[in-house]
Amino acid sequence: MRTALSSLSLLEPRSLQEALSMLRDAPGTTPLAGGTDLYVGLNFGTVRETRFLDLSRLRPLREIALQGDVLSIGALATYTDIVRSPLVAERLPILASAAREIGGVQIQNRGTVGGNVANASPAGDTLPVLAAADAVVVLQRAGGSRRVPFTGFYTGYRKSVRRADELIVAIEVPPVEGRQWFRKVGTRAAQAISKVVMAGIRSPRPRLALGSVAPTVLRLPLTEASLAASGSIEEARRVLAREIQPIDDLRSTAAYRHRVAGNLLAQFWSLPESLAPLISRRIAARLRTQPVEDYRLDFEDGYGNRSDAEEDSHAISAAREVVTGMAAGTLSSSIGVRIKPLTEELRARSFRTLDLFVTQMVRDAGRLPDNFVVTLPKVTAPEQVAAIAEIFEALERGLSLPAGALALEIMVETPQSIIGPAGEISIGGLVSAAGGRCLAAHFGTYDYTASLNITAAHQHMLHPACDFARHAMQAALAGTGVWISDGATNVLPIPPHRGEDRTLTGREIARNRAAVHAAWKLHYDHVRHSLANAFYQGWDLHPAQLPTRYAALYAFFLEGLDAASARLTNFVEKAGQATLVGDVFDDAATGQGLLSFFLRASACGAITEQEAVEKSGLTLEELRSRSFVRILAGRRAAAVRGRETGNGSRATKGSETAAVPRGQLDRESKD
Amino acid sequence: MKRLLDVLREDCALTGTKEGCGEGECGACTVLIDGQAVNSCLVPFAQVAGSSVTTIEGLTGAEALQSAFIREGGAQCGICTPGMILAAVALPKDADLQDIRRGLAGNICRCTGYEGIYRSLRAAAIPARAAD
Repeated sequence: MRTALSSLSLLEPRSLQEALSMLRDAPGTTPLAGGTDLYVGLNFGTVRETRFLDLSRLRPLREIALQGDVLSIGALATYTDIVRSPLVAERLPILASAAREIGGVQIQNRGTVGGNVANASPAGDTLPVLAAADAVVVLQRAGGSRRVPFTGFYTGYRKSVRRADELIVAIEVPPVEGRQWFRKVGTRAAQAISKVVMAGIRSPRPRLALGSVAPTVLRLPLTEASLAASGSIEEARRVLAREIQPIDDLRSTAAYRHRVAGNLLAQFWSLPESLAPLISRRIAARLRTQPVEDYRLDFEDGYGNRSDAEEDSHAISAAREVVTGMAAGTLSSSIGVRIKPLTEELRARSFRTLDLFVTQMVRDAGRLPDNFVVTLPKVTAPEQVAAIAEIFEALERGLSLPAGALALEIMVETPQSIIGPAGEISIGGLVSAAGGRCLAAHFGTYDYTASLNITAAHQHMLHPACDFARHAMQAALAGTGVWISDGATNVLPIPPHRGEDRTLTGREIARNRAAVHAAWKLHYDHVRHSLANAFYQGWDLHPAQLPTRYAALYAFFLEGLDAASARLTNFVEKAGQATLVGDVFDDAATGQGLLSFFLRASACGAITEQEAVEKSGLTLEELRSRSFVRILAGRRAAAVRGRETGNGSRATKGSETAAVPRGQLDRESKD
Repeated sequence: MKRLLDVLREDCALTGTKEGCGEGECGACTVLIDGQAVNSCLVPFAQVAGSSVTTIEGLTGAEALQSAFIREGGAQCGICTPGMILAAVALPKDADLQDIRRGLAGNICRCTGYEGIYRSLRAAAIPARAAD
């Protein structure tokens, strides 16, 4: 039965002070904000109150702002306001996730976060987020205010500590450290009341809150403590099952809610997350100390074809910049220049730029920068490589540089540089045409795939045609000491909307974020692919690609660390035993592969040398020997000595560190 | 404490706005307040003082959308149609299908489904975008 609305009275204050006075003078008056809960009750005749206080004119209560380090969300901020707020997106994105899943757009345009809190429903979707984030409810009354921690706000089903003369004016959220997670389970994605809703913050001190599993929203201190202590999801699920009290109702059953709550917990905790804080710290450290290892000044595709006068002046000014960097010590540890390809049309221009650039640099600095290299693109024939080697010689003579000072890298980006005219693999011939000057070969994705008539939509690093070229390079150059390097991802993590002359809308910010994240994910996947194929070097086109370059690199090594650790320790031990009892141990190649994993991991900064020692089970000397065969020989000698002296134990670092529990690396680094 | 919906239908005799569920689920009573889609069954009339309220009767500039609803089978039994149209008008101009689905999630069709409605919106959006 619908409430007779004409029998109800509505007070309409114009200011907060007036509203607070009205609440003081007329106890039992119910505040009314967006009306999206209250009017449902009125329409169905379930509301007993008869006096209401309209808050809609109290505009200042709609503000979302930072107060010092605290995010303050006005009680009248609507769900739409929250979805659009750049501050919420930055500080508490799961609140926006929750707001986006409440009702439909019509409800989100009217419903307020203060209303969600005041309504005190155990199914309120923003409530687990606020509980997990350690939010504080700001209550004001005529002549005073107080702040109540969210976890102490509710006292029972639809009951809270708010007194009749108090108004919720804001929700305050302190800075949140850790990865935020939110998941709502309802009958459908929109317009559904939650069966179970969960918010979590993944950090060394995990925080969890659940809705629709008890008379009020629940923080789960026991489950949190269990996760923090053991990390065992089975144990945490058992604790969770005792900590919640779901019921059967028209939306779901207690049994279903138990099951789903446990599954959500497992989903939250199974995020490939345990390495994230460690990886992010190491990326930050790497970006601070050595963001770029190697750098190229590009006079080819990135530069384009310009007038001779212009390219001349740029070759000279670029050389001067490099000399300035040499003096200041700010250059990357290797640096080089990419000239134009040695085609009929561009050859003269290419040589001229090289001449101007190198000559200017040597004149001004008296030498080349350390680890200087010239990159030759679009190589199609050994004659081109031989020609550039001759030019190098002439330059070295003319500038009185030591013979062989100029080093070359070739770009493998034409089919001819993979397969020669007689059907032979041509890379080896290209490298030897340089007469020992060629240090590296770089794969060039876009020219290569274009030459094979692969259409634009499919010209990317993961195309199987690229794998063929990479495998050919890799096999041809294995053991030669010539470095191989993978190509670049050309989708850049750059936001499409720029806010030069105005503030971006929430929608634009969301699109920017999505575009950057998609480009990062693509780059990350490309780098992971390179690494899995043992291309440990790769090129980036934009500084914003560096975080995902290192993320992929560090994740690759850190994810594989425990397995490699167990295998190598086991391997060294077995190899030692095999030789002791006279068996032949014939798998030194696998051992060398595992050793190389640790060497590469520590060289790129994924782990420290100390961690490499701990995790590999080797001594520092063994690790630095870089040879599995030599390590085995050393251990064999030690074992024989031990047997001769009657000391049967294998006195190696390996057997000691085998007892170090897994995950120690994580814990140590967090301290 | 009268509802905006009742004032529109009974006092203004604007019966294009429908009452469906009365609890903010179905969107049949959708109108625009200052351009934002809301459920008029949940809005106290007192809160719209000084605001601009647009109902299906007063909607202008959406002829392309309305004729697309007729042409593409977006208008079915008709009870949800005024709400659908007003929710659609409030969508951003560059809405893609995902935006449309999200933007109309608060409007329920009780008879045949959403494909014809989405089709109508996309059909209408093309000339509208070209005109921008």
